Amino acid sequence: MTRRGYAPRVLAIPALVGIAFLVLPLAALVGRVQWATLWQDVTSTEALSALRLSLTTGLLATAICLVIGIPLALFIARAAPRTAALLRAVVTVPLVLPPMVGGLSLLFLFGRSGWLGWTGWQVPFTTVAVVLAQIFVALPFLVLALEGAIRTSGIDYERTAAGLGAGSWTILWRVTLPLALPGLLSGTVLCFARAAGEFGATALFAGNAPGVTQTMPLAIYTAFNGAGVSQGSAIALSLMLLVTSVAVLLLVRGWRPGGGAAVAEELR
Amino acid sequence: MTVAGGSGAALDAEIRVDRGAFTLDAALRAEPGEIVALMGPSGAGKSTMLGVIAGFVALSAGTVRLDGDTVQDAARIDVPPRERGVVLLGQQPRLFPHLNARDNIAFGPRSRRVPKTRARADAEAWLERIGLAGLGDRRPARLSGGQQQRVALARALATAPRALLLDEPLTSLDPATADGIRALLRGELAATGTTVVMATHDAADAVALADRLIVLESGRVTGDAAPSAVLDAPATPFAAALARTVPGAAASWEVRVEGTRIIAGGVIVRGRAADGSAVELQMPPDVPVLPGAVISVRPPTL
Repeated sequence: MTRRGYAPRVLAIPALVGIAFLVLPLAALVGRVQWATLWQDVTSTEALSALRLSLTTGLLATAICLVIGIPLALFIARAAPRTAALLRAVVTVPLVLPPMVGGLSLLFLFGRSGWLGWTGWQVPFTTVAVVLAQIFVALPFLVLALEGAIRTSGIDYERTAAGLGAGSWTILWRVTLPLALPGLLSGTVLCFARAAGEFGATALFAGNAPGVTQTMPLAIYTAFNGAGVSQGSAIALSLMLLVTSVAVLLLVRGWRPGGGAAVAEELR
Repeated sequence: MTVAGGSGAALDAEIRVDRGAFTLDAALRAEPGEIVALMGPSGAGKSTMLGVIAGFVALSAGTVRLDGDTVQDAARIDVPPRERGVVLLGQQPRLFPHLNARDNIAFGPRSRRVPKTRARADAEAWLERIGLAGLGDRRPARLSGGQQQRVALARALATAPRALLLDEPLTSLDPATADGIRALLRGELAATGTTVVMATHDAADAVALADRLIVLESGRVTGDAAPSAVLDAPATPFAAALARTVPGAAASWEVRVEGTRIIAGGVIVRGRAADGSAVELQMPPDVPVLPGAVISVRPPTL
Protein backbone atom coordinates (compact mmCIF):
# COMPACT_ATOMS: atom_id res chain seq x y z
CA MET A 1 0.00 0.00 0.00
CA THR A 2 1.35 3.43 -0.88
CA ARG A 3 1.95 5.67 2.07
CA ARG A 4 -0.60 8.48 2.24
CA GLY A 5 1.37 11.52 3.30
CA TYR A 6 3.96 11.83 6.06
CA ALA A 7 2.03 12.97 9.15
CA PRO A 8 3.54 11.54 12.39
CA ARG A 9 1.65 8.34 13.21
CA VAL A 10 1.28 9.18 16.88
CA LEU A 11 -1.09 12.00 15.88
CA ALA A 12 -3.66 9.26 15.26
CA ILE A 13 -4.38 9.25 19.01
CA PRO A 14 -5.59 12.86 19.43
CA ALA A 15 -7.36 12.49 16.08
CA LEU A 16 -9.30 9.51 17.44
CA VAL A 17 -10.12 11.43 20.63
CA GLY A 18 -11.47 14.20 18.41
CA ILE A 19 -13.75 11.98 16.37
CA ALA A 20 -14.92 10.14 19.51
CA PHE A 21 -15.79 13.43 21.15
CA LEU A 22 -18.02 14.29 18.20
CA VAL A 23 -19.67 10.89 17.78
CA LEU A 24 -20.09 9.58 21.36
CA PRO A 25 -22.55 12.23 22.60
CA LEU A 26 -24.80 11.56 19.60
CA ALA A 27 -24.54 7.81 20.28
CA ALA A 28 -25.51 8.46 23.91
CA LEU A 29 -28.55 10.40 22.70
CA VAL A 30 -29.63 7.56 20.45
CA GLY A 31 -29.04 5.17 23.39
CA ARG A 32 -31.58 7.06 25.51
CA VAL A 33 -34.35 6.91 22.90
CA GLN A 34 -37.47 5.22 24.28
CA TRP A 35 -38.33 3.22 21.20
CA ALA A 36 -41.70 2.09 22.57
CA THR A 37 -43.11 5.60 22.73
CA LEU A 38 -41.03 7.06 19.87
CA TRP A 39 -43.80 7.07 17.28
CA GLN A 40 -46.24 8.58 19.73
CA ASP A 41 -43.73 11.25 20.74
CA VAL A 42 -42.89 12.40 17.23
CA THR A 43 -46.50 12.42 16.04
CA SER A 44 -47.85 14.39 18.99
CA THR A 45 -49.59 17.63 18.07
CA GLU A 46 -46.86 19.79 19.61
CA ALA A 47 -44.10 17.88 17.85
CA LEU A 48 -45.80 17.97 14.46
CA SER A 49 -46.61 21.66 14.67
CA ALA A 50 -43.04 22.43 15.76
CA LEU A 51 -41.73 20.35 12.86
CA ARG A 52 -44.04 22.06 10.37
CA LEU A 53 -43.06 25.49 11.66
CA SER A 54 -39.34 24.66 11.56
CA LEU A 55 -39.56 23.37 7.99
CA THR A 56 -41.61 26.27 6.60
CA THR A 57 -39.66 29.02 8.36
CA GLY A 58 -36.34 27.32 7.61
CA LEU A 59 -37.13 26.93 3.90
CA LEU A 60 -38.50 30.46 3.65
CA ALA A 61 -35.43 31.89 5.40
CA THR A 62 -33.16 29.89 3.08
CA ALA A 63 -35.04 31.15 0.00
CA ILE A 64 -34.71 34.76 1.17
CA CYS A 65 -31.03 34.17 1.97
CA LEU A 66 -30.54 32.97 -1.62
CA VAL A 67 -32.27 36.02 -3.09
CA ILE A 68 -30.17 38.51 -1.13
CA GLY A 69 -27.10 36.34 -0.48
CA ILE A 70 -26.19 35.49 -4.08
CA PRO A 71 -25.97 39.17 -5.13
CA LEU A 72 -24.04 40.00 -1.94
CA ALA A 73 -21.58 37.15 -2.53
CA LEU A 74 -21.10 38.29 -6.17
CA PHE A 75 -20.52 41.85 -5.04
CA ILE A 76 -17.91 40.88 -2.43
CA ALA A 77 -16.15 38.44 -4.76
CA ARG A 78 -15.70 41.12 -7.43
CA ALA A 79 -14.97 44.06 -5.11
CA ALA A 80 -11.52 45.61 -4.70
CA PRO A 81 -9.44 43.69 -2.12
CA ARG A 82 -9.87 46.22 0.71
CA THR A 83 -13.62 46.63 0.22
CA ALA A 84 -13.97 42.85 -0.01
CA ALA A 85 -12.02 42.28 3.23
CA LEU A 86 -14.16 44.84 5.04
CA LEU A 87 -17.44 43.40 3.76
CA ARG A 88 -16.31 39.86 4.56
CA ALA A 89 -15.58 40.93 8.14
CA VAL A 90 -19.02 42.56 8.42
CA VAL A 91 -20.71 39.41 7.10
CA THR A 92 -18.75 37.25 9.54
CA VAL A 93 -19.89 39.15 12.65
CA PRO A 94 -23.28 37.40 13.05
CA LEU A 95 -21.42 34.10 12.60
CA VAL A 96 -19.18 34.61 15.62
CA LEU A 97 -21.72 36.56 17.66
CA PRO A 98 -23.65 34.66 20.38
CA PRO A 99 -27.14 34.23 18.87
CA MET A 100 -28.67 35.76 22.02
CA VAL A 101 -26.93 39.05 21.19
CA GLY A 102 -28.35 38.79 17.67
CA GLY A 103 -31.86 38.34 19.07
CA LEU A 104 -31.44 41.32 21.36
CA SER A 105 -30.18 43.45 18.46
CA LEU A 106 -33.14 42.47 16.29
CA LEU A 107 -35.45 43.42 19.15
CA PHE A 108 -33.88 46.88 19.33
CA LEU A 109 -34.34 47.37 15.58
CA PHE A 110 -37.85 45.96 15.10
CA GLY A 111 -39.28 46.23 18.65
CA ARG A 112 -41.97 48.69 19.68
CA SER A 113 -39.36 51.05 21.17
CA GLY A 114 -36.77 50.15 18.50
CA TRP A 115 -35.56 52.12 15.49
CA LEU A 116 -38.37 50.82 13.29
CA GLY A 117 -40.96 50.98 16.09
CA TRP A 118 -42.55 54.16 14.69
CA THR A 119 -43.82 52.19 11.68
CA GLY A 120 -46.25 50.38 13.95
CA TRP A 121 -45.16 47.13 12.36
CA GLN A 122 -45.56 44.48 15.07
CA VAL A 123 -42.75 42.07 14.31
CA PRO A 124 -41.47 40.57 17.59
CA PHE A 125 -43.13 37.39 18.83
CA THR A 126 -44.62 36.56 15.41
CA THR A 127 -43.69 33.93 12.85
CA VAL A 128 -42.10 36.73 10.78
CA ALA A 129 -39.70 37.31 13.68
CA VAL A 130 -38.73 33.63 13.55
CA VAL A 131 -37.81 33.98 9.87
CA LEU A 132 -35.92 37.24 10.44
CA ALA A 133 -33.90 35.70 13.28
CA GLN A 134 -33.08 32.71 11.09
CA ILE A 135 -31.97 34.94 8.18
CA PHE A 136 -29.75 36.95 10.52
CA VAL A 137 -27.83 33.91 11.74
CA ALA A 138 -27.89 31.82 8.54
CA LEU A 139 -27.07 34.38 5.80
CA PRO A 140 -23.32 34.50 6.60
CA PHE A 141 -22.97 30.75 5.93
CA LEU A 142 -24.38 31.09 2.43
CA VAL A 143 -22.53 34.30 1.56
CA LEU A 144 -19.10 33.16 2.77
CA ALA A 145 -19.28 29.74 1.08
CA LEU A 146 -20.52 31.16 -2.23
CA GLU A 147 -18.20 34.16 -2.19
CA GLY A 148 -15.17 31.91 -1.80
CA ALA A 149 -16.27 29.74 -4.71
CA ILE A 150 -16.93 32.71 -7.01
CA ARG A 151 -13.63 34.37 -6.15
CA THR A 152 -11.73 31.12 -6.73
CA SER A 153 -13.17 30.57 -10.19
CA GLY A 154 -11.98 34.05 -11.20
CA ILE A 155 -13.12 36.20 -14.10
CA ASP A 156 -11.29 34.52 -16.98
CA TYR A 157 -14.27 32.36 -17.95
CA GLU A 158 -16.57 35.38 -17.69
CA ARG A 159 -14.27 37.30 -20.04
CA THR A 160 -14.26 34.41 -22.46
CA ALA A 161 -18.06 34.34 -22.39
CA ALA A 162 -18.27 38.11 -22.92
CA GLY A 163 -15.93 37.84 -25.91
CA LEU A 164 -18.20 35.19 -27.39
CA GLY A 165 -21.10 37.63 -27.20
CA ALA A 166 -22.80 36.74 -23.91
CA GLY A 167 -24.55 39.50 -21.93
CA SER A 168 -24.13 39.89 -18.19
CA TRP A 169 -27.28 37.90 -17.28
CA THR A 170 -26.30 35.06 -19.60
CA ILE A 171 -22.83 35.04 -18.06
CA LEU A 172 -24.33 34.92 -14.53
CA TRP A 173 -26.71 32.03 -15.25
CA ARG A 174 -24.62 30.00 -17.66
CA VAL A 175 -21.06 30.60 -16.45
CA THR A 176 -20.58 32.22 -13.02
CA LEU A 177 -23.18 30.32 -10.99
CA PRO A 178 -22.59 26.90 -12.61
CA LEU A 179 -18.85 27.27 -11.94
CA ALA A 180 -19.58 28.16 -8.31
CA LEU A 181 -22.22 25.43 -7.96
CA PRO A 182 -20.35 23.34 -5.33
CA GLY A 183 -19.99 26.43 -3.13
CA LEU A 184 -23.60 27.39 -3.73
CA LEU A 185 -24.82 23.90 -2.75
CA SER A 186 -22.75 23.58 0.41
CA GLY A 187 -23.60 27.18 1.35
CA THR A 188 -27.33 26.50 0.91
CA VAL A 189 -27.17 23.32 3.02
CA LEU A 190 -25.29 25.06 5.82
CA CYS A 191 -27.68 28.00 5.60
CA PHE A 192 -30.75 25.77 5.93
CA ALA A 193 -29.21 23.71 8.74
CA ARG A 194 -28.33 26.83 10.70
CA ALA A 195 -31.78 28.34 10.11
CA ALA A 196 -33.61 25.17 11.13
CA GLY A 197 -31.48 24.79 14.26
CA GLU A 198 -31.68 28.44 15.32
CA PHE A 199 -32.50 28.83 19.02
CA GLY A 200 -31.00 31.81 20.86
CA ALA A 201 -32.01 34.68 18.63
CA THR A 202 -35.46 33.15 18.10
CA ALA A 203 -36.06 32.72 21.84
CA LEU A 204 -35.31 36.37 22.56
CA PHE A 205 -36.82 37.98 19.46
CA ALA A 206 -39.72 35.66 18.64
CA GLY A 207 -40.56 33.95 21.90
CA ASN A 208 -41.83 30.44 22.43
CA ALA A 209 -45.50 30.35 21.44
CA PRO A 210 -46.61 26.86 20.28
CA GLY A 211 -47.72 26.89 16.63
CA VAL A 212 -46.55 30.49 16.09
CA THR A 213 -42.90 30.74 17.08
CA GLN A 214 -42.11 27.42 18.74
CA THR A 215 -39.73 25.74 16.30
CA MET A 216 -38.10 22.34 16.88
CA PRO A 217 -35.16 23.60 18.98
CA LEU A 218 -37.54 25.59 21.20
CA ALA A 219 -39.88 22.61 21.47
CA ILE A 220 -36.95 20.44 22.55
CA TYR A 221 -35.92 23.00 25.15
CA THR A 222 -39.48 23.30 26.46
CA ALA A 223 -39.98 19.54 26.59
CA PHE A 224 -36.68 18.99 28.34
CA ASN A 225 -37.46 21.61 30.98
CA GLY A 226 -40.32 19.36 31.92
CA ALA A 227 -43.13 21.83 31.33
CA GLY A 228 -45.70 19.09 31.47
CA VAL A 229 -43.98 16.99 28.83
CA SER A 230 -41.68 14.03 29.36
CA GLN A 231 -38.00 14.03 28.55
CA GLY A 232 -38.77 11.25 26.10
CA SER A 233 -40.43 13.78 23.83
CA ALA A 234 -37.30 15.99 23.85
CA ILE A 235 -35.15 13.02 22.96
CA ALA A 236 -37.49 11.93 20.17
CA LEU A 237 -37.49 15.43 18.66
CA SER A 238 -33.68 15.59 18.92
CA LEU A 239 -33.40 12.27 17.14
CA MET A 240 -35.61 13.62 14.38
CA LEU A 241 -33.35 16.66 13.91
CA LEU A 242 -30.28 14.41 13.91
CA VAL A 243 -31.74 12.08 11.29
CA THR A 244 -32.82 15.04 9.16
CA SER A 245 -29.33 16.59 9.29
CA VAL A 246 -27.61 13.36 8.24
CA ALA A 247 -30.18 12.85 5.46
CA VAL A 248 -29.59 16.34 4.08
CA LEU A 249 -25.83 15.80 4.08
CA LEU A 250 -26.23 12.51 2.24
CA LEU A 251 -28.62 14.07 -0.24
CA VAL A 252 -26.15 16.74 -1.22
CA ARG A 253 -23.47 14.35 -2.34
CA GLY A 254 -19.96 15.68 -2.42
CA TRP A 255 -20.51 18.07 0.42
CA ARG A 256 -17.31 19.01 2.20
CA PRO A 257 -16.05 22.09 3.96
CA GLY A 258 -14.30 24.26 1.37
CA GLY A 259 -15.65 21.85 -1.25
CA GLY A 260 -16.33 24.74 -3.60
CA ALA A 261 -12.69 25.50 -4.16
CA ALA A 262 -11.64 21.85 -4.30
CA VAL A 263 -14.26 20.89 -6.86
CA ALA A 264 -13.59 23.98 -8.99
CA GLU A 265 -9.94 22.94 -8.99
CA GLU A 266 -10.90 19.46 -10.16
CA LEU A 267 -13.08 20.88 -12.92
CA ARG A 268 -10.12 22.76 -14.29
CA MET B 1 -24.27 24.77 -41.62
CA THR B 2 -23.35 28.41 -41.54
CA VAL B 3 -19.79 28.86 -42.64
CA ALA B 4 -18.46 32.13 -41.31
CA GLY B 5 -17.56 33.19 -44.83
CA GLY B 6 -15.69 36.47 -45.11
CA SER B 7 -16.80 37.75 -41.74
CA GLY B 8 -13.46 39.42 -41.08
CA ALA B 9 -13.46 43.17 -40.64
CA ALA B 10 -10.75 45.70 -41.44
CA LEU B 11 -8.86 46.41 -38.23
CA ASP B 12 -7.17 49.74 -37.65
CA ALA B 13 -5.66 50.29 -34.22
CA GLU B 14 -3.52 53.15 -32.93
CA ILE B 15 -2.69 52.01 -29.44
CA ARG B 16 -1.08 53.89 -26.60
CA VAL B 17 -1.15 52.51 -23.09
CA ASP B 18 0.86 54.15 -20.29
CA ARG B 19 1.51 51.86 -17.38
CA GLY B 20 4.10 53.28 -14.99
CA ALA B 21 7.51 53.11 -16.62
CA PHE B 22 6.18 51.06 -19.54
CA THR B 23 4.63 52.70 -22.56
CA LEU B 24 3.02 50.79 -25.39
CA ASP B 25 2.79 52.96 -28.47
CA ALA B 26 2.07 50.95 -31.59
CA ALA B 27 -0.11 50.90 -34.67
CA LEU B 28 -1.65 47.77 -36.11
CA ARG B 29 -3.63 47.52 -39.33
CA ALA B 30 -5.14 44.45 -40.92
CA GLU B 31 -7.17 44.13 -44.10
CA PRO B 32 -10.35 42.02 -43.97
CA GLY B 33 -9.25 38.40 -43.87
CA GLU B 34 -5.59 39.26 -43.37
CA ILE B 35 -3.51 37.25 -40.89
CA VAL B 36 -1.04 39.39 -38.97
CA ALA B 37 1.59 37.83 -36.73
CA LEU B 38 2.80 39.80 -33.72
CA MET B 39 6.23 38.91 -32.36
CA GLY B 40 8.42 40.39 -29.69
CA PRO B 41 10.34 39.56 -26.52
CA SER B 42 8.36 38.79 -23.37
CA GLY B 43 7.04 42.00 -21.87
CA ALA B 44 7.11 43.85 -25.20
CA GLY B 45 3.36 44.53 -24.94
CA LYS B 46 1.88 41.87 -27.24
CA SER B 47 -0.76 40.66 -24.80
CA THR B 48 -1.61 44.22 -23.77
CA MET B 49 -2.14 45.07 -27.43
CA LEU B 50 -4.48 42.10 -27.92
CA GLY B 51 -6.25 43.02 -24.65
CA VAL B 52 -6.95 46.52 -25.97
CA ILE B 53 -8.34 45.22 -29.27
CA ALA B 54 -10.51 42.69 -27.40
CA GLY B 55 -11.83 45.46 -25.13
CA PHE B 56 -10.36 44.28 -21.81
CA VAL B 57 -7.65 46.94 -21.47
CA ALA B 58 -8.28 50.71 -21.51
CA LEU B 59 -6.42 53.04 -23.88
CA SER B 60 -4.39 56.02 -22.69
CA ALA B 61 -4.58 57.47 -26.21
CA GLY B 62 -5.40 56.29 -29.69
CA THR B 63 -8.30 54.47 -31.32
CA VAL B 64 -9.41 51.01 -32.30
CA ARG B 65 -11.53 50.84 -35.46
CA LEU B 66 -13.33 47.90 -36.99
CA ASP B 67 -14.48 48.51 -40.58
CA GLY B 68 -14.11 52.22 -39.89
CA ASP B 69 -16.30 52.24 -36.75
CA THR B 70 -14.51 53.46 -33.65
CA VAL B 71 -15.03 50.82 -30.96
CA GLN B 72 -12.61 52.30 -28.45
CA ASP B 73 -10.65 55.48 -27.88
CA ALA B 74 -9.17 57.32 -24.93
CA ALA B 75 -12.40 59.32 -24.52
CA ARG B 76 -14.01 55.94 -23.81
CA ILE B 77 -16.14 55.29 -26.85
CA ASP B 78 -16.10 51.82 -25.50
CA VAL B 79 -18.04 49.10 -27.26
CA PRO B 80 -18.15 46.33 -24.63
CA PRO B 81 -16.42 43.06 -25.51
CA ARG B 82 -19.67 41.22 -26.12
CA GLU B 83 -20.80 43.65 -28.82
CA ARG B 84 -17.43 43.91 -30.54
CA GLY B 85 -17.36 40.58 -32.30
CA VAL B 86 -13.71 40.17 -31.35
CA VAL B 87 -12.74 36.84 -29.82
CA LEU B 88 -9.49 36.34 -27.92
CA LEU B 89 -8.11 32.82 -27.78
CA GLY B 90 -5.17 32.41 -25.44
CA GLN B 91 -2.67 29.79 -24.43
CA GLN B 92 -5.29 28.22 -22.16
CA PRO B 93 -8.31 27.07 -24.17
CA ARG B 94 -10.63 28.16 -21.31
CA LEU B 95 -13.42 25.82 -22.32
CA PHE B 96 -16.33 26.06 -19.88
CA PRO B 97 -15.69 23.03 -17.64
CA HIS B 98 -19.38 22.42 -16.92
CA LEU B 99 -20.41 22.24 -20.59
CA ASN B 100 -19.59 19.45 -23.03
CA ALA B 101 -17.66 20.11 -26.24
CA ARG B 102 -20.81 20.62 -28.33
CA ASP B 103 -22.37 23.10 -25.90
CA ASN B 104 -19.07 24.96 -25.63
CA ILE B 105 -19.06 25.49 -29.40
CA ALA B 106 -22.75 26.42 -29.37
CA PHE B 107 -22.25 28.91 -26.50
CA GLY B 108 -21.57 31.97 -28.69
CA PRO B 109 -24.47 31.44 -31.11
CA ARG B 110 -26.80 30.56 -28.19
CA SER B 111 -25.83 33.83 -26.48
CA ARG B 112 -26.90 35.59 -29.68
CA ARG B 113 -30.27 33.87 -29.54
CA VAL B 114 -29.71 31.32 -32.26
CA PRO B 115 -32.30 28.56 -31.60
CA LYS B 116 -30.91 25.67 -29.58
CA THR B 117 -31.39 22.94 -32.19
CA ARG B 118 -29.70 24.96 -34.92
CA ALA B 119 -26.81 26.02 -32.67
CA ARG B 120 -26.27 22.36 -31.70
CA ALA B 121 -26.43 21.17 -35.32
CA ASP B 122 -23.88 23.83 -36.32
CA ALA B 123 -21.68 22.79 -33.38
CA GLU B 124 -21.90 19.18 -34.56
CA ALA B 125 -20.70 20.27 -38.03
CA TRP B 126 -17.83 22.18 -36.43
CA LEU B 127 -16.82 19.10 -34.44
CA GLU B 128 -16.50 17.25 -37.73
CA ARG B 129 -14.48 20.05 -39.31
CA ILE B 130 -11.98 20.04 -36.45
CA GLY B 131 -11.67 16.25 -36.53
CA LEU B 132 -13.55 15.54 -33.31
CA ALA B 133 -16.76 14.04 -34.69
CA GLY B 134 -18.46 11.91 -32.06
CA LEU B 135 -16.78 13.61 -29.08
CA GLY B 136 -19.47 16.27 -28.64
CA ASP B 137 -20.74 14.78 -25.38
CA ARG B 138 -17.35 14.93 -23.67
CA ARG B 139 -16.63 17.47 -21.00
CA PRO B 140 -13.32 19.38 -21.44
CA ALA B 141 -11.72 17.38 -18.59
CA ARG B 142 -12.02 14.29 -20.79
CA LEU B 143 -10.36 15.89 -23.84
CA SER B 144 -6.61 16.14 -24.41
CA GLY B 145 -4.90 19.55 -24.49
CA GLY B 146 -4.81 19.55 -28.29
CA GLN B 147 -8.46 18.51 -28.55
CA GLN B 148 -9.41 21.28 -26.12
CA GLN B 149 -7.56 23.85 -28.22
CA ARG B 150 -9.40 22.58 -31.33
CA VAL B 151 -12.75 22.99 -29.59
CA ALA B 152 -11.74 26.47 -28.40
CA LEU B 153 -10.88 27.43 -31.98
CA ALA B 154 -14.20 26.10 -33.28
CA ARG B 155 -16.04 27.90 -30.46
CA ALA B 156 -14.35 31.16 -31.50
CA LEU B 157 -14.96 30.70 -35.24
CA ALA B 158 -18.59 29.61 -34.67
CA THR B 159 -19.37 33.21 -33.65
CA ALA B 160 -18.14 34.43 -37.07
CA PRO B 161 -15.88 36.99 -35.33
CA ARG B 162 -15.01 40.29 -36.99
CA ALA B 163 -11.50 39.66 -35.71
CA LEU B 164 -9.87 36.67 -34.03
CA LEU B 165 -7.00 37.34 -31.64
CA LEU B 166 -4.68 34.43 -30.90
CA ASP B 167 -2.30 34.82 -27.96
CA GLU B 168 0.29 32.06 -28.32
CA PRO B 169 -2.33 29.37 -28.88
CA LEU B 170 0.26 26.66 -29.54
CA THR B 171 2.77 27.39 -26.78
CA SER B 172 1.49 24.92 -24.19
CA LEU B 173 1.19 22.01 -26.64
CA ASP B 174 3.75 19.36 -27.54
CA PRO B 175 5.31 19.76 -31.02
CA ALA B 176 3.28 17.03 -32.75
CA THR B 177 -0.02 18.34 -31.38
CA ALA B 178 1.00 21.90 -32.25
CA ASP B 179 1.63 20.82 -35.84
CA GLY B 180 -1.90 19.45 -36.08
CA ILE B 181 -3.43 22.66 -34.73
CA ARG B 182 -1.21 24.73 -37.05
CA ALA B 183 -2.53 22.83 -40.06
CA LEU B 184 -6.10 23.25 -38.77
CA LEU B 185 -5.55 26.98 -38.28
CA ARG B 186 -4.15 27.36 -41.79
CA GLY B 187 -7.15 25.61 -43.31
CA GLU B 188 -9.92 27.15 -41.24
CA LEU B 189 -8.60 30.71 -41.16
CA ALA B 190 -8.37 30.71 -44.96
CA ALA B 191 -11.77 29.04 -45.37
CA THR B 192 -13.56 31.47 -43.05
CA GLY B 193 -11.80 34.63 -44.22
CA THR B 194 -11.31 35.71 -40.63
CA THR B 195 -9.16 38.72 -39.80
CA VAL B 196 -6.52 37.44 -37.39
CA VAL B 197 -3.90 38.95 -35.11
CA MET B 198 -1.68 36.23 -33.72
CA ALA B 199 0.91 36.81 -31.00
CA THR B 200 3.54 34.10 -31.16
CA HIS B 201 7.07 33.25 -30.04
CA ASP B 202 7.60 30.95 -32.99
CA ALA B 203 8.88 32.55 -36.19
CA ALA B 204 7.93 29.36 -38.05
CA ASP B 205 4.27 30.09 -37.20
CA ALA B 206 4.59 33.58 -38.62
CA VAL B 207 6.13 32.27 -41.83
CA ALA B 208 3.65 29.41 -42.17
CA LEU B 209 0.42 31.23 -41.30
CA ALA B 210 0.76 35.00 -41.51
CA ASP B 211 0.45 37.44 -44.39
CA ARG B 212 2.33 40.07 -42.40
CA LEU B 213 4.65 40.17 -39.42
CA ILE B 214 4.80 43.00 -36.92
CA VAL B 215 7.76 43.05 -34.55
CA LEU B 216 7.09 44.74 -31.22
CA GLU B 217 9.97 45.62 -28.88
CA SER B 218 9.64 47.54 -25.60
CA GLY B 219 6.24 48.82 -26.68
CA ARG B 220 7.31 50.05 -30.16
CA VAL B 221 6.93 48.57 -33.60
CA THR B 222 10.38 47.81 -35.04
CA GLY B 223 9.27 45.89 -38.10
CA ASP B 224 6.09 45.62 -40.17
CA ALA B 225 6.21 43.76 -43.50
CA ALA B 226 5.71 40.33 -45.05
CA PRO B 227 7.24 37.73 -42.68
CA SER B 228 9.95 36.78 -45.17
CA ALA B 229 10.87 40.43 -45.70
CA VAL B 230 11.17 41.09 -41.96
CA LEU B 231 13.24 37.97 -41.39
CA ASP B 232 15.45 38.28 -44.49
CA ALA B 233 16.53 41.80 -43.62
CA PRO B 234 16.38 41.91 -39.83
CA ALA B 235 16.30 45.49 -38.61
CA THR B 236 17.06 44.74 -34.96
CA PRO B 237 19.06 42.16 -33.00
CA PHE B 238 15.75 40.59 -31.88
CA ALA B 239 14.52 40.18 -35.46
CA ALA B 240 17.90 38.75 -36.41
CA ALA B 241 17.68 36.24 -33.58
CA LEU B 242 14.19 35.31 -34.78
CA ALA B 243 15.46 34.85 -38.32
CA ARG B 244 18.02 32.31 -37.16
CA THR B 245 15.26 30.14 -35.68
CA VAL B 246 13.63 29.70 -39.08
CA PRO B 247 15.24 27.06 -41.31
CA GLY B 248 16.00 28.52 -44.72
CA ALA B 249 15.74 32.13 -43.65
CA ALA B 250 18.78 34.40 -43.61
CA ALA B 251 20.79 32.36 -41.15
CA SER B 252 24.01 33.96 -42.29
CA TRP B 253 25.31 35.49 -45.48
CA GLU B 254 28.70 35.52 -47.09
CA VAL B 255 30.72 38.34 -48.62
CA ARG B 256 33.52 37.76 -51.16
CA VAL B 257 36.14 40.44 -50.56
CA GLU B 258 37.07 42.58 -53.61
CA GLY B 259 39.18 45.31 -52.07
CA THR B 260 40.05 47.15 -48.88
CA ARG B 261 40.56 50.75 -47.84
CA ILE B 262 42.16 51.83 -44.59
CA ILE B 263 40.44 54.55 -42.58
CA ALA B 264 41.04 55.98 -39.13
CA GLY B 265 40.22 53.25 -36.61
CA GLY B 266 39.62 50.38 -39.04
CA VAL B 267 39.42 48.88 -42.48
CA ILE B 268 36.57 49.27 -44.98
CA VAL B 269 36.08 46.07 -46.93
CA ARG B 270 34.37 46.22 -50.33
CA GLY B 271 32.82 42.99 -51.50
CA ARG B 272 29.88 41.18 -53.05
CA ALA B 273 27.19 39.09 -51.37
CA ALA B 274 25.96 35.78 -52.82
CA ASP B 275 23.19 37.52 -54.77
CA GLY B 276 25.71 39.86 -56.45
CA SER B 277 24.91 43.04 -54.50
CA ALA B 278 27.75 45.34 -53.46
CA VAL B 279 28.51 45.43 -49.75
CA GLU B 280 30.79 47.49 -47.57
CA LEU B 281 31.82 46.23 -44.15
CA GLN B 282 33.78 48.08 -41.51
CA MET B 283 36.34 45.84 -39.79
CA PRO B 284 38.71 46.37 -36.84
CA PRO B 285 42.17 47.60 -37.97
CA ASP B 286 44.13 44.49 -37.02
CA VAL B 287 42.10 41.89 -38.95
CA PRO B 288 44.00 40.71 -42.04
CA VAL B 289 41.69 40.77 -45.05
CA LEU B 290 42.86 39.88 -48.55
CA PRO B 291 40.94 40.15 -51.82
CA GLY B 292 39.32 36.82 -52.71
CA ALA B 293 38.70 35.87 -49.06
CA VAL B 294 35.15 35.06 -47.91
CA ILE B 295 33.69 36.68 -44.81
CA SER B 296 30.69 35.03 -43.15
CA VAL B 297 28.29 37.44 -41.46
CA ARG B 298 25.95 36.16 -38.80
CA PRO B 299 23.31 38.11 -36.90
CA PRO B 300 24.41 38.65 -33.30
CA THR B 301 23.23 36.30 -30.60
CA LEU B 302 20.88 37.76 -28.01
